Amino acid sequence: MLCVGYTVQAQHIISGFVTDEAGHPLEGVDVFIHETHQGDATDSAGRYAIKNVRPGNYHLHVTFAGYHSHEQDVHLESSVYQLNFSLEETINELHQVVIESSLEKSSLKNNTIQVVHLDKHFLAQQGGTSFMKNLEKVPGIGSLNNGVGVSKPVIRGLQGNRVVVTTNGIKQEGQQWGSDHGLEIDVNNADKIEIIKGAATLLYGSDAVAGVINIRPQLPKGREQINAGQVVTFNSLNNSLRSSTFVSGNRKGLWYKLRYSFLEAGDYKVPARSFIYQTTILPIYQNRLKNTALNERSLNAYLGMSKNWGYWYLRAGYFQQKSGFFTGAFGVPNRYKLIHDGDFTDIDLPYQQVNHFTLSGHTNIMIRKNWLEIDGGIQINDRGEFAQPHSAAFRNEGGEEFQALDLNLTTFSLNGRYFIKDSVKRVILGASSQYRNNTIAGYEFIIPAYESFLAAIYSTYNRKLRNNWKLNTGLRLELNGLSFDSTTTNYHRNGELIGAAIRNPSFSKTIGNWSYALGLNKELKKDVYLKLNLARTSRMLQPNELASNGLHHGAFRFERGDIDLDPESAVQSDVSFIYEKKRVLINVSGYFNHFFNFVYLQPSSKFARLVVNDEVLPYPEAGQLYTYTQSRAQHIGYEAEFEYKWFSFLKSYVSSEYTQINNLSANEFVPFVAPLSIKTGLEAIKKYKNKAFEEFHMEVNYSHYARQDRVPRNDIPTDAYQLVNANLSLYFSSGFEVNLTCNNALNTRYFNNLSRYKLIGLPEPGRSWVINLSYHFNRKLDDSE
Amino acid sequence: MKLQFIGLSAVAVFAFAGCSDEEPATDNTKPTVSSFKFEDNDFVDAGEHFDVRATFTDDVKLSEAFFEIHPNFDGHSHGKANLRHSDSKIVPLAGTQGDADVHFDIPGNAAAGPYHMEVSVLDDAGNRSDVKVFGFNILQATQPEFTTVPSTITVSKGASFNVQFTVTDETDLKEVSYQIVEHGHADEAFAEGDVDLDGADDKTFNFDQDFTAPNEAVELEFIIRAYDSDENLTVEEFEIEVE
Repeated sequence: MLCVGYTVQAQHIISGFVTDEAGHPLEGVDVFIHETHQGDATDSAGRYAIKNVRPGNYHLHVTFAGYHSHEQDVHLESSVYQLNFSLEETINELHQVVIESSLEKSSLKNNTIQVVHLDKHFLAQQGGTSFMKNLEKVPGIGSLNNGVGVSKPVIRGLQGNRVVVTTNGIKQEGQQWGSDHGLEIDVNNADKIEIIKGAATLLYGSDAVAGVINIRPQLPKGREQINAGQVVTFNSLNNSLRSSTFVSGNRKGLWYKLRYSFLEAGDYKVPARSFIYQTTILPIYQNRLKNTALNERSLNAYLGMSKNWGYWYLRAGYFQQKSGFFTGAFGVPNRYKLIHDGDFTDIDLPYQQVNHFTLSGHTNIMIRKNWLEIDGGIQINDRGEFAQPHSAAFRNEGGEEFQALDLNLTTFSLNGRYFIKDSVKRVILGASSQYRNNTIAGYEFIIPAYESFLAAIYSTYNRKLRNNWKLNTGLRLELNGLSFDSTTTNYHRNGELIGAAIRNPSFSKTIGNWSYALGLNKELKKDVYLKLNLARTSRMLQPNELASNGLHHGAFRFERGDIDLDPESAVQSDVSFIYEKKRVLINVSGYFNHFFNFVYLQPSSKFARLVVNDEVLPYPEAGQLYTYTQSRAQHIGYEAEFEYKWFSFLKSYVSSEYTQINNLSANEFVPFVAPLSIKTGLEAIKKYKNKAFEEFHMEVNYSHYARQDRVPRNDIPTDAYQLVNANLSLYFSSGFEVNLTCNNALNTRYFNNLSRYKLIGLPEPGRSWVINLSYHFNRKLDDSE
Repeated sequence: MKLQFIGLSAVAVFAFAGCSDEEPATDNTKPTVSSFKFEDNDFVDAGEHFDVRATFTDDVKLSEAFFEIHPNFDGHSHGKANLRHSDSKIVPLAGTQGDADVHFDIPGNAAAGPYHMEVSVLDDAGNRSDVKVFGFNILQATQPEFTTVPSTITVSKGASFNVQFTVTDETDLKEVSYQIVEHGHADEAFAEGDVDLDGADDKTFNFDQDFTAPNEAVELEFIIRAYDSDENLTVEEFEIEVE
């Protein structure tokens, strides 16, 4: 790999100065070549120099906290390329950081889609109990929670298979269809997060119907450096301690990073002394939900090289989480199981354990002045559920007695993209492939063992038009082969084997599929944009939608797939208006999507059955049969943000969001959609130049969530509620940081429409305190070579 | 150019506006389990049958009712959990009122102990009733038997007291456990313990242990549970009044 296209060239340099608007030099500004990961940070005179660059086409990023980011295409031919930047202060950093790592690699100015960028300061200030909780402040983003440790991303009311999560560009595969299957992500490894709202299926595949969450760990690319850090977080909600340690460095373009994190959390607290299972009132001891303790271990290792011909790096990641299921929300609870066992930190049956292992490789090389980016990897996701058998009908013969479910998914992926660029247009030609193999075990059944192969080719075309218009369009063609054999489970009665019940039919199909998008971006004035997107998406269906046939304990229902369902196709449109001036930010988006055959779980008028030896039997403990069904559906909503900077140190904001998903055929609403909300807050930020105390940040916000009446049958509405959160952050130039967050400061008792626990009358967590202490050591090395 | 953009935006937003914003479906009312009773007793001998009767109502149309027996034992199992009995029946219904007479046969080897009978009903639109839960017991001639269990113990605050009882079993006792919980506050065990009887021939067990009463006036429940090697469970309770 090292010798690809590598010939001895004259040494070229890109250099210059970075200043603020008044012309004062800015120190510590990152100047970075996207394609090679070469870069430098400005010195006290504001000077940077990126040496040893080969002639070619590059994309240069200039980023500095608190300032507008810059991006610039560079066509390097002469030996010294002089480029100076003058940065303007920004009101909202979330919009301003250049999307240096996403496949689109372009900014607000060039993008047609809505992208939000979150950095580690933002994430630490949120003080959430889970990865997704930290993202909820972003309009249009929510999380589906099962207790506090397990949360799933929701974008514009859609979740599960309709949201893509990537880590270092590789799509995370971990049974994301299941509502109690949380993300296998180390919160501390997610230094930077990019969120794409709206369809992004061209580049990310047919699942990216609602959007994408890109997790971007900070890597020691660019300048020569050595870093180390330690973060400790305490959360009073479940007396949890989270710790993360990293070390990273870059010497002569060879770099590494190692991070280890762990979490130990006890049973979490709720503002309730009892809950209701059906009509029975059951106790909660000392306001702590029994068996909701969890623990996590995570290791991430990177090794890479950045040279003037491009870069490569390898990542090895391991994540393990063990979390108890609340004894009262798993199967039928009884009094004995809810008696306090004397320990708030133990994890007893029932519980789930997930081990996620990733090994991936990434490279970017120059071919005839253009760039070829390749990544590939293997992921092994082993998810197990352990519980006492609910019924004597099913049990493991010979296997582990309490292993209810074991889903073991191995995913191989290989993706390539070729970037062609000149002064007016940018073209991406891409191909991606993915192979998945899922095996199953355990005395329960939910989805079959399956094999899936996916191949796709795509192209996007980005062009500057006249009058400050920009066009972004593209097409993706996919081919998905999916197959599984029929599965049976043994059925017992009175301790004896009666026969085998067929759980799913055999299935084998190869489906072709396409998606298309057209986006326009008009720069009306400087920093005022109108954006318009139209897309045709078509999502490949997953094995749970086609072939699940089992009991979902937490939901008290039996879920069955349908192999005759078609890919879920939709036409999506959205319009955004962005106005960003020194004191004011306005960002308004509206979307209107029409699904021709939205997949959802339709409650039937029947109880679940199974067939054993041609005898139709009621399914033990199953309850109501829900079937995956398709319907026309309408998905509409908006996000609106308004920020005003009163003084250099004080700003206030108001944001609001609303989503509605109407199931048109069944004439019903879709479950687990957040109600209308309005959030408002006051933020004080004071920065001190060249002082030991570097920055002060304080924020208080107040959110109002309306009553949610738009729920389907057998679901329950949730009342309106108000929440107050507060945060104080102190940053010291020594690298020390303190974040103190108070969540639900008024100790409001409320029910979240996105939590299944509302069905058993369990309110969301009350007031909690989060203390986050962080220290990082960062040294730029002498770059004389 | 601006006009063009506004035009395009308008097309995008209203392209699908033809889909009307209809009101949700009509029948969202749950059916109900309006009555339930055990025909004879809320206990049944293994090997015998067991009859229950329930009535249901819905505002539009009933679909079917579900009756299920499942064990209400504690979390433990002793290798023969498969002898804990479970069974279920689905009964088709029609109209806005319906009743069901259901007959359950209890196998002769069903483990003795506390069980639940769950009853729920669906209507034709897919609305599900609340689930009603009723407790009953399966009895075995050979299940563990408690003898000399005290009826009530009265004790002063902070004083020590002694509990004695005898358990016998025809086959082989496997485990005897106890819990002391505050009356009406079943969430916290004031004291608990268990004795594993690993031998193959434990026919009698004598419990004899001293306890110290809490320093407040309170009504406690002493719950004793005994398993035999056939997974039969017998539960007994008596009260401790702390004065």
